[in-house]
Amino acid sequence: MKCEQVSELLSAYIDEMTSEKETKALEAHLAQCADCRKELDGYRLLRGIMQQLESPLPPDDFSTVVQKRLQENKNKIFSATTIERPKKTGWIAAVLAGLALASGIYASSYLSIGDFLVSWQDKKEQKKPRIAIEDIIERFQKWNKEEDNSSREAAEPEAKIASNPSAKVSVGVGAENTREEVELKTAGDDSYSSHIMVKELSTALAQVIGIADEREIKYSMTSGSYGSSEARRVVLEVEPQEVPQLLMELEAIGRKLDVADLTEASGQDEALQASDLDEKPLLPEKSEFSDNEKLSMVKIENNEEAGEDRKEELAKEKAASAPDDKMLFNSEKGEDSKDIESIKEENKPEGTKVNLDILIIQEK
Amino acid sequence: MQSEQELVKKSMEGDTQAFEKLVLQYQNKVYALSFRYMGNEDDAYDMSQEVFLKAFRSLKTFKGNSSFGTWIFRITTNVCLDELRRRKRRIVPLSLDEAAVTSRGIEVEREIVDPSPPVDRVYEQKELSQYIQGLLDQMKPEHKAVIILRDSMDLSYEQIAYVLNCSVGTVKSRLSRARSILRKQWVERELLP
Repeated sequence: MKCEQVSELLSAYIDEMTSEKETKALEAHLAQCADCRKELDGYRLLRGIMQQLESPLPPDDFSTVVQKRLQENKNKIFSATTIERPKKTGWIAAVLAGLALASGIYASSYLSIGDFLVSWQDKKEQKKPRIAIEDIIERFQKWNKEEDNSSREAAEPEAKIASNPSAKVSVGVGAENTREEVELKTAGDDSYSSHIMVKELSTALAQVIGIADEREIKYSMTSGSYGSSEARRVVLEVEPQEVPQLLMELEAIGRKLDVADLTEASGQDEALQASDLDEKPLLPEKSEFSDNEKLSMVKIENNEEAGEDRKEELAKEKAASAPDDKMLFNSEKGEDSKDIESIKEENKPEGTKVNLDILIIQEK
Repeated sequence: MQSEQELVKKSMEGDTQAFEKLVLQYQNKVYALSFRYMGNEDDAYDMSQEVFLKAFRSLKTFKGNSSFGTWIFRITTNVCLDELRRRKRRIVPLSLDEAAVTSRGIEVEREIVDPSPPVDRVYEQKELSQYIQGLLDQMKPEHKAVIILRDSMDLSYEQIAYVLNCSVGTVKSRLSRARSILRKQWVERELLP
């Protein structure tokens, strides 16, 4: 074994992380090489000193301050999503919604999707289930508006279920039922986005999917590259009020990129000047994204420039704003739905959902 | 006395009292780790606070693949290194272990302005700590992290791999490189044989 090889192994050797074979060869070399022994002593001494470095202790009130800040945040989180006890009419509507949902599931378990669509179209003309469900939805939306300013205390489980109509009802009337137009979603005003740089793409994707599955969020995934880095774009369809929390969770997976990072990540040797960023979007050099996706990426850049704080503000504003009447789906869905679908009708409950556009980039 | 697992479970359900117990259990280590990364107590305080707030928010993503302690070290490392990188971009990027490239494209060793006291001085423990901290602060964040996690926090290679989200092989080679850089600086200053 040569001195250079030994030198490379000494760090692992002091941690007893060398293989048996390496250890033997290393020790044989050390027995006769004074220089390498000296180097080994140096590593050991260094480790010893590092182990004994003095570390300060946190102030006494550290955990109390954490607790206080948690309480403050908790209040903020809860004020964004109002949880109320519905009025009497609400309970009736909730029961109706439950029944409609149950009958929907019952029907779908007997009919193929094609048959079901036909029967749905027929029913649409008869206006029976449609009226019932839309009526319910309208009522839910009314409560939300009416009771926006009332107290937010009663957080009983039943109340939660009933006052979260879109999450529940959408299962029954949502993706499976209507298809009229296929359209790829570009990141519009109802999108939130984030760039996340990760060490391992596959692990990060698994985590994102984990988060999505946990909350039963629908997602679509597109692969491509960002600059010279491999990247995946995941679009999650979420409730607006979920956005801030989800962004936090998703951004915890890797390293969130800000504008300066984006210049690095775009794979250009000379980083663009800050002034360039205002004028031209940073599209990936070797992009494999479609035009539509490029368009989305421009939007992503713009959002990034708005900064993190602004994004949180935006998220809150969005949460409070009126529901969009459009709901579109991308291809390559999550396991649940196999078809490309889009629903463009008025007063669809899922219309309140927004797209959360996450670009996951492999760190070089 | 509740077990850590019970505390984690309750915290996941939003129990801030249970979470405070976890904070008390780990605050010294998180604070010490943040201090090593950031190099001063003010930043260590801010970062540690951020770590626990972030941990509480992200508890749902904690799957129990690692211990809670390792998981919180991972968050600490992410929070601190992100902050260091953010700052580095604001200031002129410079790290000791990155060869400077001249305008003609030739790699040269960086010249380091040595702030250290004369070599024959006897170091007090506190001074020595400060001095080493100064050297660590000039290292690349990923090299700094691997040395700190291994030597100061006494984590295993597997735990470091989890914290840094990389393979054990990467930990091994990165640690070797980082230690070699640090040792050379010490030898140059005749602090090591």
